[in-house]
Amino acid sequence: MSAPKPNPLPLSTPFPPAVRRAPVGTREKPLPLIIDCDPGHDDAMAITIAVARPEINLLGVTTVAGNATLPRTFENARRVLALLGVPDMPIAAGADRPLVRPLFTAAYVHGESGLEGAEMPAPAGRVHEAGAVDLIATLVAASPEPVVLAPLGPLTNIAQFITAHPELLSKIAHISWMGGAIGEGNVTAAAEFNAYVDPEAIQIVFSSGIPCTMVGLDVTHLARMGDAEVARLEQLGNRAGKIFAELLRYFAIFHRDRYNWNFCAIHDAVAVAHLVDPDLVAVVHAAVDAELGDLQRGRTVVDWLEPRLVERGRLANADVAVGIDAPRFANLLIDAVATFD
Amino acid sequence: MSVDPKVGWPTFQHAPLVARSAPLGTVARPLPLIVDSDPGLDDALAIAAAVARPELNLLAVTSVGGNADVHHCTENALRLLQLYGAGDVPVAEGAVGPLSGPLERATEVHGEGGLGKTVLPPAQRRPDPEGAVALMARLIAASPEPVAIAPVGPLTNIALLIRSYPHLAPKISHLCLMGGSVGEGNSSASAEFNIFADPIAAEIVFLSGIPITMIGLDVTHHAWVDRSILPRLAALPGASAKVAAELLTYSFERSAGWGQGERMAIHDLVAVLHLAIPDLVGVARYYIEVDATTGPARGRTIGDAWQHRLVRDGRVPNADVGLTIDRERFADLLVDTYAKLP
Repeated sequence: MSAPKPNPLPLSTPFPPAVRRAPVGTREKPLPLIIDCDPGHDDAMAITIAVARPEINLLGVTTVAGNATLPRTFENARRVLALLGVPDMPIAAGADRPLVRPLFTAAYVHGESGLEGAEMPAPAGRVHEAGAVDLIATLVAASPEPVVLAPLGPLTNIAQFITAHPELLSKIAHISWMGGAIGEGNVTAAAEFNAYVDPEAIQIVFSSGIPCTMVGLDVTHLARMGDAEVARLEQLGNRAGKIFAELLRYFAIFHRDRYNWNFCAIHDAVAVAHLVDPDLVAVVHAAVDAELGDLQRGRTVVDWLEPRLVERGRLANADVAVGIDAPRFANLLIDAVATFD
Repeated sequence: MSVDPKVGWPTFQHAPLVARSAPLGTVARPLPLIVDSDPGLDDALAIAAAVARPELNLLAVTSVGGNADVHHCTENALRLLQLYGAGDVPVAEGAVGPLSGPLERATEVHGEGGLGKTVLPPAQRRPDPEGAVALMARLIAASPEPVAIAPVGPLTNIALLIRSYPHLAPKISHLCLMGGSVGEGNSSASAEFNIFADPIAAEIVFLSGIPITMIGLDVTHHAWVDRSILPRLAALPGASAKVAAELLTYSFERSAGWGQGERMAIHDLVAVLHLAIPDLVGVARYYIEVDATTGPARGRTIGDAWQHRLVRDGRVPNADVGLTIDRERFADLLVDTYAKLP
């Protein structure tokens, strides 16, 4: 009958305006940050923002099995550090599987290596052999001020850190996680990939008492790079621009084949960009729960309706992203890539 | 904050609107219809439309425990039909509670008796003693043509009907149900009330193979009216319109008290009107699966319209899902309904 068009918001009540609770770094006072990731094309772009922006003081990078197996995500992260010219960045490998469930990877999105599409430089980084949880603990303990964690994959490492180091939790300022969805998932109708892979870890993290932001598909599907933006990356003329253009052209294949989209969604970069730009992402205050059963495994149940929360005796203890300034996001990404060789 | 919270919510794989699969009554050939309901403020208006619309042939109203206690719901159905001049339409009482799980009531919405503060004259008859499920079965079996059912409460009676009289399934032309949501719920963030009140019954219904239209919150939250409808109802001569205005006023005051503005979504009315009006509601095809587990998303109607996933999982869409509605026309149809009643 009529052409598909975006559904109107079928909300019983509009999202109440909410002030973000995630800290924002400034040039004068950069935010100490640890990225936990599973590169992953969009992870690579997220790390790029963290290294490029003066508002972030990137303390270290940890990796987890997710988009690809652990050896691959670890190697990919180290190649990204080489590309970004930070060979001394502390890096560690973490969990090679979710807390409870068998590993499920996304080779269908990122290719077998997890970062297909470009010739990456040889791996770099200062490898912390004692592993991801130990590296996070070491960096947090050594930091004079509270540290922000940006997990961009399944939350396995973060859940293990929380369980193993209760004495350090007060030194975690915030967790800005890319994962979940208020609405439709991608792996299943119920669940987004990172949430689907390790739902038990979500429950540990979001009930830990640490302030969290959930940046889910509801906004990351709007965080887009299309042909025009990829061309702008290429036209930067630097090596990073050329490689990222190649990576995104590979990433676009999945988005074209599966979604019939002529752009790709740079999911993970939103969770980091949120920490440098106070005006990029709109949030709602909500309670977040994870579905641990098989039927809706990994659905993030997001409740922001005040009367319902009061009735349930729940606190809206998380920020959940509900809007993004998409052109601003694309400019932020391209500007970040432009700062490299 | 300049960012507009306008998101790819609730679905990013937008299902295209398609031609409806629900049957449509006409004045020349009214659709045989049973309304299974838990009156209920919005139920009262849905029953009104089932009586008033010449495109519908109302065979019976059956009650189910939901918005209020089932005995209240039964008596309300009898009183409403009496008010609407349809005192001859059979009424039978159905399930007192869900197949399994705790009893859920919405008396905070509908009042203890189900009709707000409105007290209608007592019914001059008793409900049919055979009960809701047997009455439905008898009427369906006796009907020369297939019968449509508009379940606008918890699906307990319908699940019992499907389980008790499986041979009658081919004679049920369609289930046009109010319930569920592809997006946000209301009883919980996940679940709409009618499904939340009896998820197992809903699971049975959606797995039954009987053609279904799901009129859920995705569309009914757009089917609202506000106080501007009151003078239009007041201008009508009948007693029914006075009662409708009273019921609506009660809900406007209640919703204002909840800080939601003075408007009321007339959920149940949408399901009945969809069977009488061809182009009021826009639908898309979804595979709907009901979460009858006890997790935080219990009672969600999980909707999938993405071809890639449906093929991967070996599924085909099992329901029309209401997504769009012409709200102004909906309000006009509400007024028109009461213009046709005594």
